[in-house]
Amino acid sequence: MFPRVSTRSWHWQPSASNDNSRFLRISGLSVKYVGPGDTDADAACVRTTDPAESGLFYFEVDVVNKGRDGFIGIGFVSHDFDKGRLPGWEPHTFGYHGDDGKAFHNSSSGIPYGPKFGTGDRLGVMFNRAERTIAYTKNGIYLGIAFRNVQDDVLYPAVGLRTPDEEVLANFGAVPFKADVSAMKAEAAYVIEQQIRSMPLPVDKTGGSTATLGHIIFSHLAQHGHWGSAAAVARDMLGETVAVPPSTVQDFEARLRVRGAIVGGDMDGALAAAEAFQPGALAACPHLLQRVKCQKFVELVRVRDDQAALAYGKAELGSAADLGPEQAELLSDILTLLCYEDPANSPQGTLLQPAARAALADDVDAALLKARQLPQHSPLERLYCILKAMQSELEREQHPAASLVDLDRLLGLPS
Amino acid sequence: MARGERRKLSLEEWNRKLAAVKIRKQDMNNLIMNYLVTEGFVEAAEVFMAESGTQPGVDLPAITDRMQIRKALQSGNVEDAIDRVNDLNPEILEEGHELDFHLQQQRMIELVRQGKTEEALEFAQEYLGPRGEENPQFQAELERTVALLVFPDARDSPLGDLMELSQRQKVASELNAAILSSQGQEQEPRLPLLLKMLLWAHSQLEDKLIYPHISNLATAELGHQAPDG
Repeated sequence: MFPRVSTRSWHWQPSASNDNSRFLRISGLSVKYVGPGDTDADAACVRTTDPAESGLFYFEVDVVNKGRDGFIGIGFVSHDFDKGRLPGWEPHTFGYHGDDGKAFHNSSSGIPYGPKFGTGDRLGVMFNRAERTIAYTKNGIYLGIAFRNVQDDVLYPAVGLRTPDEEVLANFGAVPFKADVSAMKAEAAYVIEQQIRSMPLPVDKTGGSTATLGHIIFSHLAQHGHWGSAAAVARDMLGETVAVPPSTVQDFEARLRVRGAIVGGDMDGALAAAEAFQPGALAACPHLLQRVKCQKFVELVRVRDDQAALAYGKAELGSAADLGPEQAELLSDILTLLCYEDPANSPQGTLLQPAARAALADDVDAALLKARQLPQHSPLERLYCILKAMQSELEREQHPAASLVDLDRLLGLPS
Repeated sequence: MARGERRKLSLEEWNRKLAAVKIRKQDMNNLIMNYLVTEGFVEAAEVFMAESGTQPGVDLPAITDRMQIRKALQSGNVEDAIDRVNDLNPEILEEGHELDFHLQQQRMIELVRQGKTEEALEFAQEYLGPRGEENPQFQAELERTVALLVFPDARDSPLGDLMELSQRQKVASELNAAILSSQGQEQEPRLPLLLKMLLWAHSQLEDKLIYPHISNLATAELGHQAPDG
């Protein structure tokens, strides 16, 4: 449920010789100040090569040495930041400073935030992309939110140093964090869950949502031929304002005959029933029609009427090559069945399993619905599809909800 | 991508993504069964179990109380519902002031429905007035309900919503949730949560993505306007 630990390899950007980063000696994830440290103009800041990735991003920094004055700033900077300024002094940068415990954002004076920090302290920084907040921990203790309404989407972990011998060592998860990150994540997940639960549902005429839900349930039951349940829901939830039309029942039963024939291995019966439901529906889908015919061939092989199978193949299946490589492969697979003494246990044996008939039945049913311009799915099913598609878009946007909240689990569904 | 720039997904692209989602039929059935059972639609749950093979996960006879209370409310027998709740657990209404008020309000609505104007007025004075005095937050709702008395046809008045069947459903759901809560059971069925998730996800994506919106939750139709802009 929780985001995978970053597998990315983290690095500080190397120092340059023509800006203040020359005052920093970088070694692995350690940064040490080696400049003059006389005035604020001697400040130096470094960021990581890559930006904070997941929706809920956390890293820690050990203060190895607070140096002369402990003017240490820890936080985030933007891509194009000023290497001669501590994090927080400039726009698009955020920093918590050790010498005064203040939080800085686009400010040279900061605002009171937390305790001062120095040698031996471990600081943690949490960027919550959904809440647009940045919070800190000190020695594993959560200090609360330092910055709200953080508008930058792309931020880089950063440290800034200003006086001699200041030295810090960062940890991006390669070694266990001091703070209980899973508790912070659980809390963030809880906040999101509560947001979801408190969303107001659109109301029916008088302020409830029973009718909306009733229609969603009713249409699903009708789509799947649960007539008795649909009638009970229409009566108890919708005050008999809806009923399944007789044509829906007839259509459903006609399609059920097609399905029953395929699942029972009777392809001729299936073709006849499909034709009765919607003339020309399968002829309009040559690939699918070919698959039904191939299945008929398979059924003949199943009962080891190889002669009939061969004769049928010659008469009906020759056009496979024109239908493309997939159909040609299917044809060669089913022909191969003839070679085996026990086709069911041959490499092509799956063709003989019930699942093959069921899959064909599903596809034929979908084609019949399409031919009649009937919906493939109930509104409930479509809503679920939309939710899952939205979830994958949230993931793409690195929204914390995507990694923190398991929507299927909240819905009581297996993940 | 800078903040403020939104990605765009056309209806075609969106439909392709939707088609790629795998739907498990049993999952959908479980959502429905959970709703029917939680909301106390026992008869529908029983038929649905028989027709789909979906297990209710609870002992259906054990929720018959809730079903009968819901049925009483839905058919306008508010007193019967109140008696049954009090038999079940008198604390539910003693402690639930708002629920209690809504039930009394519903009693008055049913009297109006039956055309018993005088009886309705007496009832309002005896039961609704004192509750309104004790709880100022009920005042507005109280005024609305009493106003029903001045319309020749309350159904066709600006207060017609109070006369609707869904007003009964609303109170029935509120009472059902209170009973479940008193029994320490899960109150919120998951199907409404699915709708809430959709609304929430939309609120999170809105400023990042232009994509076809749902124009009607009950039918899951997508808006026809092409996502441009």
